[in-house]
Amino acid sequence: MLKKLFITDFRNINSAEIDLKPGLTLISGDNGQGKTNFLEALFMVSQGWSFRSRSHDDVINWDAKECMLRVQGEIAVISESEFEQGFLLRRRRGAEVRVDSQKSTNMGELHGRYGCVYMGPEDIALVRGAPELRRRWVDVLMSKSHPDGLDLLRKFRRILRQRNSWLKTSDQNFYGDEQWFALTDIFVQLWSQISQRRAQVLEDCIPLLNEFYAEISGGAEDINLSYINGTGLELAELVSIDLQELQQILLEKMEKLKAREQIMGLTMAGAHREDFALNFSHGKDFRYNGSQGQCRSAGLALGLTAFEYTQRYFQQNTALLVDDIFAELDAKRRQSLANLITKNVKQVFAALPRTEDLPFSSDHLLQVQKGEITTL
Amino acid sequence: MYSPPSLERLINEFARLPSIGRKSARRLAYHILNQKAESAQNLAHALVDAKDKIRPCSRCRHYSESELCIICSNPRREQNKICVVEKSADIEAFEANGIYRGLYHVLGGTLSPLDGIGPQELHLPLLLERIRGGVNEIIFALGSSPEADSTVLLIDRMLGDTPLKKTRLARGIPMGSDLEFIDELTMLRAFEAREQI
Repeated sequence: MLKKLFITDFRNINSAEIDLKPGLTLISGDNGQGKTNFLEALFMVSQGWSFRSRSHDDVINWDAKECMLRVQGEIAVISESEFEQGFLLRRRRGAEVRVDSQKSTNMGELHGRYGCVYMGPEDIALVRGAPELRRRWVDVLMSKSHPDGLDLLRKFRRILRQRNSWLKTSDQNFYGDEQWFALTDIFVQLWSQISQRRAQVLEDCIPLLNEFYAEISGGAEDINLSYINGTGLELAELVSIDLQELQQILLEKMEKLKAREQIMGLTMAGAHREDFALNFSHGKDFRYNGSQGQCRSAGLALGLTAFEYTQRYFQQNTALLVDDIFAELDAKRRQSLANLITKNVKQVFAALPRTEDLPFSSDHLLQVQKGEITTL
Repeated sequence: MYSPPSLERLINEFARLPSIGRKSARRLAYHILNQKAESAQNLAHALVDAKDKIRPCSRCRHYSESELCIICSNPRREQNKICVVEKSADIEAFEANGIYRGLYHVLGGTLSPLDGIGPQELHLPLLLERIRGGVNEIIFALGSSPEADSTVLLIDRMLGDTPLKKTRLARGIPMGSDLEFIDELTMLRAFEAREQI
């Protein structure tokens, strides 16, 4: 459980010291007062990255030179143990990270001790939105369940940039085939591993996804997931296929694309272009055949699945951050979603602009006004 | 600025060196001023001398004062083994223990189209020529970045079917370290590279 959060100059919150309690904490306030900033602070201090921005400079208050976050809590596995972690960010400088008494400069050190899952309006768009959103969804889970997940993604991005740069500018006459092979073989090795791990995560998620979807929508239809990586392999095949064999298939695919890639000066297939789709049991894609309501419910079910998956991994030591997700739902769905959240989760922080929207009673109330946080 | 221009210039020059910030540069500059003129001259001469005399060995690209470096010109070293390293400084790590008695080849980087580094910038034609001239083992000691891996693959491909033993250094748990403190990734690689006993 997270117990106490200290904030200094994070976005519009100048200074705050907040006691965090178990159960449901409601964060209320008008638009633009800092509700999401509070959730972001909680997420960033426990995970080491922000769900909103890429650059660390963004989170530092405009009028300040540095910002600081610190969280105290308790990890309960076999017995309970106290933990404390935090970081200091200076504009255009690196981070100073502290995990218990260990100092570091790597924000990654914050990750992996205590789970935190954020569900926001973008989750509702997950089913119909850009493939990038879905890739990020699966990659976040993959990096939790596979120790080398993040490393693979990092290396893949790196080699992709190298390969694109080679296709665009480099002299391809001098040992061109050999250079193509050297870059492509590593590319395919990383791609195949990422693909297989993503497929593994998706397969594990199907039962959870169905459970949540049924509860939110009250519907009887089953959801299936299919993985789109251009090989035509089914999800289950992708999970069980021998890695060498998969690499061979992907390498053949790249060989077919070789001539076109050299004209376009761009890598045209890879882990950065994969996607997954949600399908009805009769095989039709949700995106094109589902109603607004069905897509929204499926998006929220994906969000809850991510939470449950993370919670299993962290052995219940996970907090759920919910940001204004009730707005677009009808009364019935709102109620079932609320029931799911309060039933499954030990610690929830929910931000809402209007408290009368809330389909459940909160245990604690925080009011946010112009960056000032007060406990009511 | 309260310092005379020549002192500022010295500080600026020091500050351009790797891992030296403004503060350290200032400390170094004051240290030099406080010393005898002779030791400052020695330092200046050493800098100019090193830059003048040292050039890459024509065979392996390791730093050397003569046409061939100390290692390449030593007839007692095993002439049929080449260890491929990224930079000259890496050779020191191998030479410190004296376990390896073969020759080296310094690439000066790894394959990186982003930085404009291709096979020619890495002196790969030179390496191939050396290998075809009678070498029976090549050892890659290039780190674990994806660029290093693709460099190994590139050299392997360029060699084609030249009969040759090709090896790379093992990856895994460092000697003398406690398993409890090994990070997950290192542990995973160590598992992948486990050996039969």
